[in-house]
Amino acid sequence: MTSPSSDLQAGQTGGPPVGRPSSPYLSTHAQAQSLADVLERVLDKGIVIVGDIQVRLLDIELLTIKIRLLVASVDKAKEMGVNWWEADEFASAQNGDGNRAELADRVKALEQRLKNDAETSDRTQGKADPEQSSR
Amino acid sequence: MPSNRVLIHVYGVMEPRTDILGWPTGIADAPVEAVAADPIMALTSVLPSEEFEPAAWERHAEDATWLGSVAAGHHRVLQAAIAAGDVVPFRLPSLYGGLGSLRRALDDNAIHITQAMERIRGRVEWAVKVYRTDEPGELDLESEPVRTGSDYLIARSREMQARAEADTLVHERVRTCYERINDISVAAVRNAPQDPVLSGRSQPMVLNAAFLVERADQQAFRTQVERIAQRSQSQGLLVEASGPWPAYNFASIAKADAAVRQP
Repeated sequence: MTSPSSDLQAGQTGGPPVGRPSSPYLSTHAQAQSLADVLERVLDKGIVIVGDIQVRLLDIELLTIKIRLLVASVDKAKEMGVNWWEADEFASAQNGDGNRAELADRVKALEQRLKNDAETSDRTQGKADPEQSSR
Repeated sequence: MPSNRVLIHVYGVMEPRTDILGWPTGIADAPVEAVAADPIMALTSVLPSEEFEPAAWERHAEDATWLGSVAAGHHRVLQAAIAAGDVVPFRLPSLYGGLGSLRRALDDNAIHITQAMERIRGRVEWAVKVYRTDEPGELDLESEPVRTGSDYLIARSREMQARAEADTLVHERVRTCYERINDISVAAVRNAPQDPVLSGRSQPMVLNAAFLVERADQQAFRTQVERIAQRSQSQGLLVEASGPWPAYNFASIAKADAAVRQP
């Protein structure tokens, strides 16, 4: 493991017990927070307080797969400021071209599903701005 | 939409008067600004509207570099926040067209926000994932005397049965892990296990759970998970924990209600 980013260290101070050496069974610190874990949370969880500006988000699964496809190297991730998962096994595993074709197929299938979803939800959701129009 | 419009993104809300001095920057390297909205305080950044208006999100929805960096900025601020106090994370993106509309939205949802704050006060989220490591082997025809077609069928059905039994056993063990960990948490959520493509692991994920843990109980939580991880290793299960996370999984009302007690 190389030195974690300073952001990470800020994260590590978040709880009292995280400073001690990790056990062979557990990775109990911020380095274990992979990009997929972060995306799964920030795009899909958290409280939703509807305001006057709304953004319709694409399927989280599609987004995270695309991230994996496009984030080809740790260097690239460093540019993005998301290199805390550097130590993750997947970073090296995903660098190979082995399953890229498979991933691309999956993306295609998901895009088709999204298109179908969008067609149905456009009809049910209507215009995006209930807050503003109510004022 | 006019591009000179002000865009305010909210990372989350905290108790008022939390010191945000020296925090890392957020999305697009924008500084974090506290907006007091009694009885809470919103963590915000003013974002350049031409780069972050809804049309821009649609444009960038498939741009992993952009999205990854924005998500990282959002998470970075929330990680700093849980180090400083209790925070109710907002979903990315939470955009408002100005201070007025932000205050109105916070006001209109004051009850929900207060309830969420009560739920996560003094608590943080821990993630636990379990992977199955006991890949069932292929039928070993060499070891059994297979002479006829019916010999093969008998061996095959025996194998199928063994596999079904192994699956049931794993299911029960994972359930036990989840319940034991749940014993020392306040609430728990089971999310869909990540596909190997997402998890980046070849072993199938059999549990993708989040637990709401008292800050004071974190050491006990870790000890418990570690004990379970140790015991599970010989049972073909790999247990991993990460944290502390902002309580992403327990901020929204519907999800937390569903989470109170699951099997």
